[in-house]
Amino acid sequence: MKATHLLLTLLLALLSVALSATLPAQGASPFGRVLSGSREQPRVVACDYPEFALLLPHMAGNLKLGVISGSRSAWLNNPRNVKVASAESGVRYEVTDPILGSGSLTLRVRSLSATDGLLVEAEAADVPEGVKLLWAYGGACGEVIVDTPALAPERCHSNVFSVEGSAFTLYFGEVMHLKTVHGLTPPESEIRLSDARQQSSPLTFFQSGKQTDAPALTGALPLLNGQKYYFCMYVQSAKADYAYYMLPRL
Amino acid sequence: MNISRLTYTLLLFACHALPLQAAVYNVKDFGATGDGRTIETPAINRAIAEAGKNGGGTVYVPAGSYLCYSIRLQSHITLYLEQGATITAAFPSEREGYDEAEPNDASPYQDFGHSHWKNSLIWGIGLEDIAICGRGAIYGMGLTREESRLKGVGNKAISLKECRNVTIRDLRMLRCGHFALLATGVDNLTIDNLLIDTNRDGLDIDCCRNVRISNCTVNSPWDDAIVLKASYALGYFRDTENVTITGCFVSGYDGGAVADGTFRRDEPQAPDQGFVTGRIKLGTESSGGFKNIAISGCIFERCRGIALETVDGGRLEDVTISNITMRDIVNAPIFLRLGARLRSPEGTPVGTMRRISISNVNVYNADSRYASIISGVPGSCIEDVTLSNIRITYKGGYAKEDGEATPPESEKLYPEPWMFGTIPASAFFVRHARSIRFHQVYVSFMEKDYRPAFVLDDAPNVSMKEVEVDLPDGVPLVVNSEF
Repeated sequence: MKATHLLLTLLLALLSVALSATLPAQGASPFGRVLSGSREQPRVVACDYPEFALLLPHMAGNLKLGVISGSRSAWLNNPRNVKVASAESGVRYEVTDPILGSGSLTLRVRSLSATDGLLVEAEAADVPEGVKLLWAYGGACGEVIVDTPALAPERCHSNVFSVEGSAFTLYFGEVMHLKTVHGLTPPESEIRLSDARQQSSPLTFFQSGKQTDAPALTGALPLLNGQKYYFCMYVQSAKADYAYYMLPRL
Repeated sequence: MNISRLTYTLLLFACHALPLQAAVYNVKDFGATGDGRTIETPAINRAIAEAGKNGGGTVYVPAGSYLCYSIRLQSHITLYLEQGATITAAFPSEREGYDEAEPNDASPYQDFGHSHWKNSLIWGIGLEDIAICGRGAIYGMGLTREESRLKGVGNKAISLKECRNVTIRDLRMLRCGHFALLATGVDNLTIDNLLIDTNRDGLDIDCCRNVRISNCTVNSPWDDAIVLKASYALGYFRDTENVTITGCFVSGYDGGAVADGTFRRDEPQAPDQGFVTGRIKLGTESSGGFKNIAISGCIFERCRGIALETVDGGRLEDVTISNITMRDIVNAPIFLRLGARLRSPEGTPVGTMRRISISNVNVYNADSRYASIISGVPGSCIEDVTLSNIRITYKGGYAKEDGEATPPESEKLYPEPWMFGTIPASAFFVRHARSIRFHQVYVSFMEKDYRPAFVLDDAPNVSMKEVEVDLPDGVPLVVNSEF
């Protein structure tokens, strides 16, 4: 009887930890889902739609997603178009949008265990031909922030992106106090340095050019049904040194 | 008949007509396709091995795109890249990649990139009589400039260790990872007419003797363009000596913007947050020394200034820098630093810096925050430096209060002008230095600067002749903390 009680208590405690890690927090910030860290000191956070930020605790960047079809594009940030649920120590999103037609985009998102970081798996079903997925990363100001960790242009000033294929290293901070974060994106990505002051739509952002005081990185790739695409943004270390081909097994 | 076929025919003719000369080995005869998709390394390495087995020769790469991992050079080989030929560094995959970084017991004393040679696109160790030349290109697409240690990752375009009689000529080298060229312990090295536009260091000449670098263009906004080093990577101390750098253009335009002719300046910042780099430098690795170095007839544009640094115990002596012009310099146009970082085997004492001559230098639009700096450390002075016929136009714009700061000594820090914060001088800051001569030195400012022009601290025997500085009223020419 005592053992059963103990087991029940343990299960309840575990459930409580899991729920606190993935359920929306109270308050105004849309980044209420804590994927890593604690409610008081979150390190990887998510919205009820697929937008994420790394807080280590300094702001180390924001990942946001959109879709493009021809001259139309839309950010995937409308909660009414998103079914969100806690799953597998992370979050599962099912996103619809007029650009996706009758299809949908499913994203499974979780934090990494070996380092501070975020892993996203995206897969489309029944989306029309010619749709592109747009990703954007930036806004790593390197300071502890108290407001919403969005990809804000005023946080992009010091951001330097070293792009190698579909991977990047983002350098930020100040001389003698440098910080870095690494990113892995699908190899199909066409990557551009872009102007974070022009984010009115994914297409505008993607086509904005690099003449800016607020550089961010954008990438666009064909969204093919049934194919899995991965994104990983993380702090590199001896224990966490990744290539794209490693992500499905991570 | 196109030019490349003609060249090949002539090479073949030369081969047959002069049987005593080296033979020509066309990589396509060994299975290379040049289709830009096939991994060609096995074919090219077969051609090199065959030539090596026969006593040497020219390994000929005709027009085409050759996707490669590690190409292993051998002695008595010329690797000739025809106009239109590009050797492209492939991205490593789960199954294939570059040769593994070899073990090196001396690796703690310098960065990973300096400590290994085999993890490169083209490498040679212990070779003699080799050349890499031709009007073709090396494109380091799949090389990294970053710090990944994954198996199969490559980080240098050309890497040579303990070789002699080496020529590298005429190539274009694009986006080459950590180094376009890392030459360590190479004697009798000729580098001529390279166009390098890369994402980290251009030419790194480390522990080498008798080196000619001439007529090169190096755009490297994210690290140094041409840099002499004297690391401990070989596991023993070795000077870099008897080096000339002449007729070169170094810059920090946007990556790729010199090779593509756009010369764009949209990206002001380097990863280290100190603004674009792209300079000629001696250091930072300086366990060994530098001696008998002549840098002349070079142009700097949109980059950091010239830097002489010995911070790991090396003796930096007998250096001339002459006939240099610089524009749009983002930090100190002249930076001399004798430091005490001492990233060398335990017990290595602080080095020396002396007998430096800097003459006929023109600088326009240099950032003013750090002025120009000549600084040793307490107890170890820079000695015997002559600056003559120097003309510098700084941006200016600093206030009287900026002239009251006392820069930290920062003896053990990585040497960059930023280590001192805003400098209290508008023209030159001289500390822990003796016998410094300023002769025919002319300084002006684009905006008035209210700091003293020269600030001297622990700087005995400084002489000034015909020194003219465009100072606002009441601002002293010299402040000497000794008095």
